[in-house]
Amino acid sequence: MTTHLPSTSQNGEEISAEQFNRIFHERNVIVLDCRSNGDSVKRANRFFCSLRLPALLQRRLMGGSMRLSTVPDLKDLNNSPDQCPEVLLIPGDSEQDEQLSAALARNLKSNHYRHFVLGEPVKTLLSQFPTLRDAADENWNTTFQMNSMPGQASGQQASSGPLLNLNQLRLEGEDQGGKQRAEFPVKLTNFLYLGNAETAKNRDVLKKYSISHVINVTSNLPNTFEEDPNMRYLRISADDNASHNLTKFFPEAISFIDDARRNDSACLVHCLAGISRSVTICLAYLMKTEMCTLDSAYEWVQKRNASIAPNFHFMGQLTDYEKMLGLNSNRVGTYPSSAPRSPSCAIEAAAVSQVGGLLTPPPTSCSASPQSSNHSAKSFH
Amino acid sequence: MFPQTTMDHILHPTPREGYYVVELNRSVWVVPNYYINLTPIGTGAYGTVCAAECTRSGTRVAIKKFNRPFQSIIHARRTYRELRLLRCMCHENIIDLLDVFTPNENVNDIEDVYFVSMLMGADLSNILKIQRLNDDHIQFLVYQILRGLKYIHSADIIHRDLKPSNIAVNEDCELKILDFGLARQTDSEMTGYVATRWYRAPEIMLNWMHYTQTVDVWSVGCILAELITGKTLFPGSDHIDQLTRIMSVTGTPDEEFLKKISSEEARNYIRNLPKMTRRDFKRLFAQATPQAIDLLEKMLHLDPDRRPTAKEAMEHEYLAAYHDETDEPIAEEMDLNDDVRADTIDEWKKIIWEEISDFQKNVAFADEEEDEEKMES
Repeated sequence: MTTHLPSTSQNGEEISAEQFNRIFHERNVIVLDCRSNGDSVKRANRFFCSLRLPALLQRRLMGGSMRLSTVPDLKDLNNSPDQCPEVLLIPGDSEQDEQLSAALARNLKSNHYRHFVLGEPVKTLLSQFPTLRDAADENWNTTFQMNSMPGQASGQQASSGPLLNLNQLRLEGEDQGGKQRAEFPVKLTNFLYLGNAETAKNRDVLKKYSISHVINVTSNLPNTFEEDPNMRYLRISADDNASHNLTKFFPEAISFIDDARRNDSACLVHCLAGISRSVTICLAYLMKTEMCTLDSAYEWVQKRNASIAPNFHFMGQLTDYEKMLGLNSNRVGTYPSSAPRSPSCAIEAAAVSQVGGLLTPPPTSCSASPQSSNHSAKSFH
Repeated sequence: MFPQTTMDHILHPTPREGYYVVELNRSVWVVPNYYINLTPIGTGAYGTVCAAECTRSGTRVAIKKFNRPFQSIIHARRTYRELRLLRCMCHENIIDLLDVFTPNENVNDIEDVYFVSMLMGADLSNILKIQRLNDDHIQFLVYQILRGLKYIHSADIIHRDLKPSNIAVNEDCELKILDFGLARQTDSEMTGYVATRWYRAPEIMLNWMHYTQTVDVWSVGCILAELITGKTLFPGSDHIDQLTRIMSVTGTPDEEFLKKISSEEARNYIRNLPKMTRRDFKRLFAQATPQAIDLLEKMLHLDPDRRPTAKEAMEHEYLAAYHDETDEPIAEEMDLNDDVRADTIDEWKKIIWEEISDFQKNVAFADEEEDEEKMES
């Protein structure tokens, strides 16, 4: 007995439930289910490979500017028509779904794919042929594997609904590249603290760390306690951009910090956020007094606060300052750095030392070699 | 010794009518009764986010609670600007503002602000952790990012913080750009914000005095590279390492580019870096299609003047399947109230309170209109 089937040369022909079932089992087909997912009962009867297209994609399909084969996960339709599985189209059950079905049909026709449209309700189809529900899964997997591209994982299973599978996701709130930002003030030496706007107006913090000297590297933040006779302020008016020259303030700032050190107290250097301007001043101080390179000073500060970021205008000024001090930079060939270097021994000694006696000013000679500059500096006594 | 009831009152103040208190991860949330089943899903620089169900609309939403929006004038101004921006923007690929509320009863007491938007399934950074996307997915996602960018750029807004965790995606590959906290900040206000630097354009790091919208296109280039390879393109450990990594791919800049840096010190700093040649993108992205590589070359140009705009990038052949200029809308005139000024936090409280009240009035009005339509039909 020969079974009559619609001629495959006619595209978009409506077929009965019986014909749908026969084609499904006898041919290599993709089923596109255009019904929306508003009805939870229907969802249970849904075929895999339902077209849950975002509105944007639907408009591209209806406008004809996009080929159906570019819809993610429908890559099979990229095969040549001769090898392409045929498409069984289940039309939608709302006006919008109907528009989508029509757009899909036009799209398939204009690209010369053979497709059939189910002309009866899905309910009828599933009640007459209940095995379609189970057969669909088995058949689809087989079908998909037969059409796997070379090199594609043969076990890969097409998404049966959404374009992306988010079920494995456990949403986490971790910040990317998230080093812990240090709490201010950050202790750089026994007498030098790095801070932000909050630090500068917290009297308890200033008292706790014996801070009597404050360098305010902003143009707009107040010297909060300048009426206190025990507090001394140095304002360096600067914004965090490329129009300010901090270099000319380095000598004054260094003297100011040394004054705190000589008086057995401490100095706070702050700007708005403790990231760029204040860091620049601290780096200059460490380079000058410890005769270490910019790289060493930078690593020293960064270890204590990962969020430092002097802008490159200030970095350029610090590089120039390094040259002026005669420090021998090993920068050429060191980027990207292969491994972090340890901070200079002198600075390490400064942090470890608990003795707060007067310090002999460092030698003013600027001819030290890199090797000796890392080892020749005196320990604090 | 305080009476127990007083202590309870201090720990959990009685919420105003229509609101209830829920404690999550040692943080107290006070939200309207119609948001239920709150589940923490993330924390960011300036807020924490919960997923919730809205019993009014029957949808899942994301509620963002700002961290101390009034702790400083800068925080308050930023909160206001983001609120204003989200109210003015209306685009498929940009996050929508469904609700904004404060549980505080009057303007003087306002301490907390919450934004509510549609809950998307995940952001790109989550997806990239568990899933490699095929090229069709990548095309569609990148197209949508650029489509959203064209809209915000046409309103003279620069996002400035595009990164995978600021790109929300649902199961159907629908995409929305999130978090406009950095948009329209002045340069001096940026200094306090330590953002992920991995997606930032080099000209931002080099403190150009005036940078353009193509800083966002650079970020899209970094995102496209990451979608293709599954790995961050420039995971700098600090801003110096960031610049070095960029130049190891793009090569050290030529004099034509250096001339555009206004700071002589910054120019000299770069000149002192070791010379690096441009990497061959065909090798760097061996698994990418030629069209994708070509688009990457253009979007990751060191010189922003030679980088395409979002509009131009959408015209690239890599995105030809989705490009339709008639369906890539630009913004209507936006009244962002940029000229609003306030010198004290109390003034900002008043401004934000009024903005929230105005939002609520508009929502109520829209609800009434809908009711009338239902009665007519």
